[in-house]
Amino acid sequence: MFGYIIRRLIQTIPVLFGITVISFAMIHIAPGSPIGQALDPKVPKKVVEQWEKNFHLNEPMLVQYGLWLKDLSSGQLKSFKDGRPVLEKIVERLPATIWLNVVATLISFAIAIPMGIFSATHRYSLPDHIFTFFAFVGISVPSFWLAYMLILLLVQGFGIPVLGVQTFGLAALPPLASLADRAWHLFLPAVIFAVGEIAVLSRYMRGSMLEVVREDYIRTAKAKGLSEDQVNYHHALRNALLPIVTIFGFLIPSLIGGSVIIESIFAWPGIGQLGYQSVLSRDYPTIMTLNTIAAFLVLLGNLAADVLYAWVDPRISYS
Amino acid sequence: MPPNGAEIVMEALQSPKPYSFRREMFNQFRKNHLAMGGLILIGFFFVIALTVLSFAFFKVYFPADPNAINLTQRLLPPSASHLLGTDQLGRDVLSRMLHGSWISLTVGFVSVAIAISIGVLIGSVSGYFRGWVDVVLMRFVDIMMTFPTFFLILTVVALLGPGFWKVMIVIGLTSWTGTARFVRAEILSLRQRDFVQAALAVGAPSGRIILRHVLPNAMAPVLVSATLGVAGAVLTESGLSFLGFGVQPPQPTWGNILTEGRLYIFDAWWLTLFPGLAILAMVLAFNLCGEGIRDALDPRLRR
Repeated sequence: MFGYIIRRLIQTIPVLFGITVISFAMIHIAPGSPIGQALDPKVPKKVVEQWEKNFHLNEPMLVQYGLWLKDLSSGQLKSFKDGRPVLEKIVERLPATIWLNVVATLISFAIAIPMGIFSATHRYSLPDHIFTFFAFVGISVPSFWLAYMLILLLVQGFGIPVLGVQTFGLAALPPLASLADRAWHLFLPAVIFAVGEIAVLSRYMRGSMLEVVREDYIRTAKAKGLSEDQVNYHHALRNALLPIVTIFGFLIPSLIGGSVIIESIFAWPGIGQLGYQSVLSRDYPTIMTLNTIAAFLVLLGNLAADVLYAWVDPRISYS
Repeated sequence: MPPNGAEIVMEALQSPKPYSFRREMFNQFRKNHLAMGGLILIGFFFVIALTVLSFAFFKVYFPADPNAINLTQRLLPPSASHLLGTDQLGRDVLSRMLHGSWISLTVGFVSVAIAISIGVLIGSVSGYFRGWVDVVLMRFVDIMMTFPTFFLILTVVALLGPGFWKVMIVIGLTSWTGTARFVRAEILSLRQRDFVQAALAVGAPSGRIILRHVLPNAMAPVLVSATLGVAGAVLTESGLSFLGFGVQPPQPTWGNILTEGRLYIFDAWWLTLFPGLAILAMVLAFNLCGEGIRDALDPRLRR
C-alpha cells in the first residue's frame, strides 16, 4: 500500500508540471500584455514599465515561467490588484468556502443516501420514479436561477434576509442570536449547492445498491431465510456504501470550481467569489494560482479516493 | 425477468424482420417514458427554433418584434397581449425567448460537435497506436481533467472577450476529455477482436481499419456522451451568460434575458422565472434522452 502511494505520487509529478505550464500559458494566449489589460490606458508609460519590472513581465517567457514557479512555491506571488501575496488572499477566504462545502455535503449525504436506498429497494415503484425524475431536474436546473427563485420566495414572501455571512448591522447581537443568524445565512447557499449533489449522489447510491443486490452472498442470505430488511440493511447496504467513499475525492475539487456562481450571488466571501472578482479585474497572478491549486486538489482528491477505497474494501489490492 | 439467450433467439427466428441492433435499441428506448418525453421536448424546441429562424429571415416576427422597444409598456406583468410580460425596455418577453431559442440549441450542438470530434480523434489514435503516443496523449488528458472546468472556461472566455463563437469554441475545447478516455478504452478492446486482425491480415491501412472497422463499433457510447454533453453545454452557456460572459445583447438569449431581469427581480418576477424554466426544460430534455439511450444500450437493464 505504502509503495502504491509513493508510485502514485511520483506519477503525479509530470501531470503537476503540465498543470503549471497550462495555467501559465492560458494567461498568455490573451492578446496584448497582461498589464495593458489590467491597468487603465491613461496610466503614464513610466508607471507601466515599473509595473512590468515588478511583475517580471519584461523578461523572456521562459524566465517569466521560472520566476512564477519560484514565487508560487515560496508564497511570494503578489496580486496585481492590491500587491498582497496571493496565497494570503486565498487562505483568508478558505474558511468560508470550507464551511459552505461541509454543510452542503452533510445536507446532500443526509438526503441522498436514504433516497437512493429507498429507490433501490423499491425499484420501479411510484416513489422511485418520482425520485428519479427529481434527480434529473436536480442535475438540469441552473443553480443561479434556483437561487434567485428561492431568494424571491423568501425575501418577498417572508421578508427574510439572505445575503452575506450575517445580517448587515447585526454584528453586535448576543452570541447565540448571532450564531443563529450566521447559520441561517449559511443554510440557503448550502442548500442550493446541495441540490446538484443530491441528484448525482442519490442516483449513484441507487445504482450501487442494485449492483450489490445481484451478488451471490445476497442470494445466500435470502436463501437462509433472513428478512428483507436484514438482507437489505445488514448485507447489501454495507457493501453498497463502499463506492460512495470515492465521492469524497471528487468533493475536494468543487471547493473552487463549484462555488463561483453561488458565492457571487450570495455575496459569500469564499474562494469562488475571489475567483470571479479576479477574473473581472484581470488579476492574473490570482487566477493562475487558483487554477493551479484547484488542479492540484483534484490530483490529491483522486489519490485519496483510491487509497480510501482500498482501505474500506479489502478485495482491492494495489500491490 | 430479463429474457434469456434462448428467448431472444426464438423471438428473432419468429419475427418476420431480421434482428437489428438499432431497432432493438429503439424498442428499448421507447419503453422508457421519461426518455421519450425528453425526445419529444427536444423535437418541440427544434421546431420552434427553426420556425422562428425561417420567419425572422423574411423579417416576420411573432408574436412581436423581439427588439421593438416601447418605453410606455415597461415591466408589464403577463397578460393577454403579452403572454409572458414585458421587460425593462418594454420588449415582449415571449418574442425574445422564442428568438433566443436557437442560440441555446446552436451552442449546445456546436460545442458538442467540437468536443466529440477532438475526443474521438484523440481517443482512437491513442487506443489504436498505443505505445508512447498513448502515454503522451493520456497524460495530456489527465492534465486537462484536473482543471475545474467552469472556472477554466470562465477564465478563457474572460481573456478572449465574450462572443457567440468564442463561447462555443471554448466550451468545446474544454469538454472532450471524457469522450477521449472511453473511446480509447473501447478501441483498446476492439482492436484485439478477430475482425480487426482479419482486416490487418488483408493489409488494410490503419486509417481504414480505424474508420471502417473499429470506430463504428464504438459509436453507441459516443451518442450517449454527446446527448448529455449538449445538456452540459447549454447549462454552462447559461452560467456564463449569468456572469456576463455569454452571448451579448441585443441578441436575446435565455441566459441574458434572465441576467438583465434579475436587476428587477422584486418588481418583475416573470423576467427571471420564464427564461430559467426554458433553460431547465431544455437541459432536462437532453439529460433524460441521453440517460435513456444509455439505459437502452445496457443489456442488464432489459425489462
